[in-house]
Amino acid sequence: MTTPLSAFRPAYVVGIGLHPYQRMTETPYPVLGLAAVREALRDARIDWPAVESVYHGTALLGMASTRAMLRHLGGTGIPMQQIENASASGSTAFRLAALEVATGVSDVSLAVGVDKPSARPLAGSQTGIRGIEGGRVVPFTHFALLAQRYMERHGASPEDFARVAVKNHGNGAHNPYAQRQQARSLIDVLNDPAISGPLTRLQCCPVGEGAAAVIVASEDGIARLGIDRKRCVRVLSSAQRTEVVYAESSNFDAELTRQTTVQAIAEAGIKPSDLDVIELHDAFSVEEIFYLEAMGVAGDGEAPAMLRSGAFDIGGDVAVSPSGGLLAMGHPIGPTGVGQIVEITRQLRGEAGVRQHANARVGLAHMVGVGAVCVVHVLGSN
Amino acid sequence: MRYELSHPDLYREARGDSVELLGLKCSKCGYVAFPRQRYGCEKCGATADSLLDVELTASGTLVSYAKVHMHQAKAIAAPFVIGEVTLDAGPTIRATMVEPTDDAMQIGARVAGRLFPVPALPDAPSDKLELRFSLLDQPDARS
Repeated sequence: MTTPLSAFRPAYVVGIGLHPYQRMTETPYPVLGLAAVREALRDARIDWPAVESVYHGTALLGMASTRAMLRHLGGTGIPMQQIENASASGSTAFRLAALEVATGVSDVSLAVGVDKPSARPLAGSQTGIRGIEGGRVVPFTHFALLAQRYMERHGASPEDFARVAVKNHGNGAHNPYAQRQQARSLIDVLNDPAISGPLTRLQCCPVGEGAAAVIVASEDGIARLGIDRKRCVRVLSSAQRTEVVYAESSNFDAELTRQTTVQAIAEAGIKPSDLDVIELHDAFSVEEIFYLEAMGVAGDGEAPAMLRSGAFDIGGDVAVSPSGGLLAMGHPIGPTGVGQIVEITRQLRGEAGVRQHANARVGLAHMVGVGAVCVVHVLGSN
Repeated sequence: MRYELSHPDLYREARGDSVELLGLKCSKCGYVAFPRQRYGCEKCGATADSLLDVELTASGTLVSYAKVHMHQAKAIAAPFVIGEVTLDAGPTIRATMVEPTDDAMQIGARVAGRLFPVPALPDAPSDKLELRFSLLDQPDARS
């Protein structure tokens, strides 16, 4: 018999912190990570010795990055490890921290994500298996191909995808941690340099540097450390899957998202229509359309019309990418999935300021990564 | 001069000017895949002795396309067009199209692969044959 996270004791997000996502600088990575971790400790109003384990989502820093950074908080001897799972590295680190607390191994665990851009090739290029496209199909072209198919099947237009970027850049303009903080019009997005198929530069996420940190605690930890229960957000479910062989020429990222989300929302005991806030993997504008439909938030082919009507705005039916998403907040890889949990926690606490979606009670975080992998969490206000 | 294939592990010349992709078929589950590998079946896990060599004719139907305007790698000159092709033999592949623009591209169009001399670098002399797909002449609907 197997047991999902929700069947163990409750696990809560009790502290959140970020270092702004930004273009690569000369700043050493410990500066980024320590800023996010110290902010999360201050947010939880606890001290570093209260933390019992660390899961560090990072894909690009290289071997043994965690203690080299966190030793500057004062060595306490706790277990620490790097978690690499492509774009879902941070999401996977958070899942492991939540599972460790839920199963009772620890009362307080830290999930942190830190990365800086690197030119290291993907392991997939070293498997000894290569295709015939000769390196010409990079991620933006993978999604441009899927976008072209979507336009043909549903009569959608390039404007339908560009509107995702308009919404998310609008949200990012109000997020002081976002890499892109400038609102853009539909004309700005469409007239931006063409990249691949219907995608323009502003419909592709910036990959820079940054850090995000989330502290997870049990009821026992919360009581023992005197943490404010009103600011705790419960982890309702955690689901993680990998790709299988789907029907030929299917959208595997969307299919994987569908299966993983079904599992996560069933475990949380909710329906897609219960979601108030969603942070999803909008590395490219078209992905937001695909995944909202795969999640059951929109019917097949219906996401563009709902987007146009404002359904996915802050204050709409469900706020999608209120942080600005990967498109505007940015996608520094390791931090991204942890940063989604930070935004959802802020929203469910009612502390998101001008980005606040009113009465947000249930939020969903979703990341996919090359491979392909998918991680989905559902969080609920306490 | 006689041109060499740039990827003899991936495709070979066949009758006329047609091309065959070097694929595999799993004798346990029937899954047909490209490219060829000996690690194990992606669908059922059968080991190398169940993976039979099959040749997949490089013809099929265009299921999507994208004109790529920018590319990070300096050796790859943009723009170019990528086609996503479901081969008549089953697998869906992605290939570089001969056509320099996507003006005539249409999902559902018939396409086929041919070998073309392609320089390794944009200004270098052609010395290898590479596989490129192109649109086949469509029957004229008015005739």
